[in-house]
Amino acid sequence: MPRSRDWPAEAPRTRLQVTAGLAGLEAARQAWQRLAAGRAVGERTAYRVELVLEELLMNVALHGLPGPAAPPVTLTLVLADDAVGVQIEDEGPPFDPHAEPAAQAADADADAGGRGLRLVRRNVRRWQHAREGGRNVQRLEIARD
Amino acid sequence: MDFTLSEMTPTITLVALHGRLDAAGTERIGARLGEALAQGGRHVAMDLSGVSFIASMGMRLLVGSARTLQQQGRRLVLFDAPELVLQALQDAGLDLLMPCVESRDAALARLAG
Repeated sequence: MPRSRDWPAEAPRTRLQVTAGLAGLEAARQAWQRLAAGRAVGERTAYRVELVLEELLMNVALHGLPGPAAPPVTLTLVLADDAVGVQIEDEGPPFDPHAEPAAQAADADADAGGRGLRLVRRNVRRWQHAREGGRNVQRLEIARD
Repeated sequence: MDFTLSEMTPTITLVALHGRLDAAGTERIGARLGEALAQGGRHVAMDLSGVSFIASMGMRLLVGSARTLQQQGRRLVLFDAPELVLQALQDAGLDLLMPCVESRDAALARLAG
């Protein structure tokens, strides 16, 4: 999590383990929807959160370690008044999203991953990456509309 | 995610997509959509009014379709996308390869011209 002092203690949050893949993505979406229910989350915000979850979880699934078909990911969601915090932790190979080259759209297949990361970048106001204790930790912040 | 196919004019096929163009939706329809578009030889107008969400894998499907059609001298025009879907397509810079217009009539005009 962005250091806990960045998020108000009373902000609703949820933390869960999911697998990086289609089933885990669905579980992540449902957890987000439960957190957001009845809390006046705008449509654009909701879209952005779902986009982040989709792109980053599928990125772990596609680029993670060989081994389990769907590697485990720890997901934390925080719903503050002005922003949504998303933290995704995985044990895959080191991944630095900011080091990815901005791919040109020369080839649809090769560019899909680059396109996904660029979409995330366009839709978050902060994206920190860290390598901590053998895990990739992505911390993202989505402004609320 | 699902889709329907029909004849819009003798030279234009209408495809209407319904649901989420996410990883799950793409996996569900990707192969069938490819097969359906491979037939016919017509230009394609794609109605996105029923699409509630699109992310990179859905975009990859659309781009792949557009490129395959292009290789056959056929064109793809999208129309009537919800605002957030249109915004996502624009964010990804795809609106040049796959123009997204406002209405069915605008799509017809674009493809007939």
